[in-house]
Amino acid sequence: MNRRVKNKTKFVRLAEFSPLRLVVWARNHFKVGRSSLVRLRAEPLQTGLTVCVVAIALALPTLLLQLAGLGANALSQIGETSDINVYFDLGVQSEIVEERAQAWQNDSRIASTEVISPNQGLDEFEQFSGLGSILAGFEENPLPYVVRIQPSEQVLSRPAELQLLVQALDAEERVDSAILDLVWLNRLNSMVSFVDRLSYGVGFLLALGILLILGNTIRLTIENRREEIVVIKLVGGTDRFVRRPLIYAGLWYGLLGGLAAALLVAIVGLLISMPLQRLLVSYQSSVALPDLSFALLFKLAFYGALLGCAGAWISVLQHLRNIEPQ
Amino acid sequence: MIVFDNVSKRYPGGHDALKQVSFELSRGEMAFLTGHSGAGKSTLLKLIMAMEHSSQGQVLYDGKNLARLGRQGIPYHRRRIGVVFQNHSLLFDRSVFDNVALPLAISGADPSETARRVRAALDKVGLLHRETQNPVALSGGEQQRIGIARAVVHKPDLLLADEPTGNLDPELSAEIMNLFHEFNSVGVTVLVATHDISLVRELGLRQIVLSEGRLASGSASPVAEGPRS
Repeated sequence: MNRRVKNKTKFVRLAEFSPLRLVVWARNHFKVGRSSLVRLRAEPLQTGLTVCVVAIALALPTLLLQLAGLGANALSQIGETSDINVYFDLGVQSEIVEERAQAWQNDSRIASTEVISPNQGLDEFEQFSGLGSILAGFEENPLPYVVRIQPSEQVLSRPAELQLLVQALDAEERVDSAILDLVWLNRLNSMVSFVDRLSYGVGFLLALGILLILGNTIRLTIENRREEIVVIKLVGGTDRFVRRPLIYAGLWYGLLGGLAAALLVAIVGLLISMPLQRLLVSYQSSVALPDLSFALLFKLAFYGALLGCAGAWISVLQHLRNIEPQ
Repeated sequence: MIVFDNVSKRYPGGHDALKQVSFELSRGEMAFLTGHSGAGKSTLLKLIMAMEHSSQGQVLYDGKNLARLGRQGIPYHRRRIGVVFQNHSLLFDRSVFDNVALPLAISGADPSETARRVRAALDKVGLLHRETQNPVALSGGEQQRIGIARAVVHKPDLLLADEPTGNLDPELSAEIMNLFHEFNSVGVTVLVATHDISLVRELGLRQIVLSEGRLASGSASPVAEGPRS
């Protein structure tokens, strides 16, 4: 008896996966997907608002993540130029500077030296900061001689020795100060990792927000269609049949939200690209701005759709079961 | 086809809607379910639709106990039944055609087959020319006939109607009842709940009479009626 029942179920399952069922299934999905999109279009205000909320919630963490990526990229370039800048006192003769640089060149701890005259310094400053006109107000060039020192690999890998070298250079006669930009570097480094973490945290919270918002939107949709759901159940509609258009509605909200988020990211990117480019140049860094790639567009659309479906599911699980014909 | 075996239904709160009701409805039979409002007619129909479950006794449909359907089985059970409601339960956000096509959409019929069957059903109730209209634009009698078209479009074994003529004038009511009679004559089992006694007498068919939840008369088929021809 038991065996017979088992065989019967097997048969039914097999029948469910026949090609004809597959065609019917695909056709139903296509129809339901299209009609739920048409329904969203019939309520432009509601749809527009929901899509906007989803778009903003997706765009914000994306922008933060891009910023962190930009910072990390810039940092890796700056990291390659971990120079010690030795600033001489004002008015020191060029011969003395050259002589000193030559002597340092023989130090095993130093890989290379480069003398930067006040005029060269002025050029660089003008070029990178865009503040050259301020300096034009000075009668004399206010910049000192600078020797840019590239420490040897050996020293670079040992922070204590590097520190000693900087101190020794700093103590030399006629030297105003020797500065290693490590502090600044560390600060930037931790800032970048902070923004990185922040974007994930914010992303997580906003994803939760999207789930709740879409869940609520779908709940309202269920309320609006209560009568229709009852009739469908009365004429033999399965839970799946009732559920399907609602899940599709969630999918469309999420997908459209994701695409709109990509648009937002592109617009914000355009707005900040100019000033950002200038900022980066001033740090002697030439990091390319991230373009809105197809990969990003796809990712946003995908995550939007995923969240949309999930939000709709949560809502459907909570609310649909209670609607039964009375 | 339908067997009520000593069925009682008590609602939460202690109201007994049905008390020890037993009767049988054979395949191809047509019967009226009559009684005053509150006699339990709607409850009886709900039990057949598996919208409610009996508190005691069994309701059998083709020999199967409806209490054992389970949540998954209920939709498939309902697909074998066509229902007509007093308030016709049409959806006003879609055309007459789409309303009638709903049972076919649910079972995933193919589009050309759907169109053919919907038009046949609409033709049967005399409203083929209304297929593109919204049901809200139709009269009460027309809406009811759309409801009937929806109930028969998927060729159910059993047609249930709950006060289908409740809001209609006598002439329209007779028309509707004749429609049910015609469906019965092609083999559909029909059970119509109504309090319109005069109409029932006119047709001279079996009556199952409920009074305060009990079966007053009509427990057995007067004659083993086959499909009329």
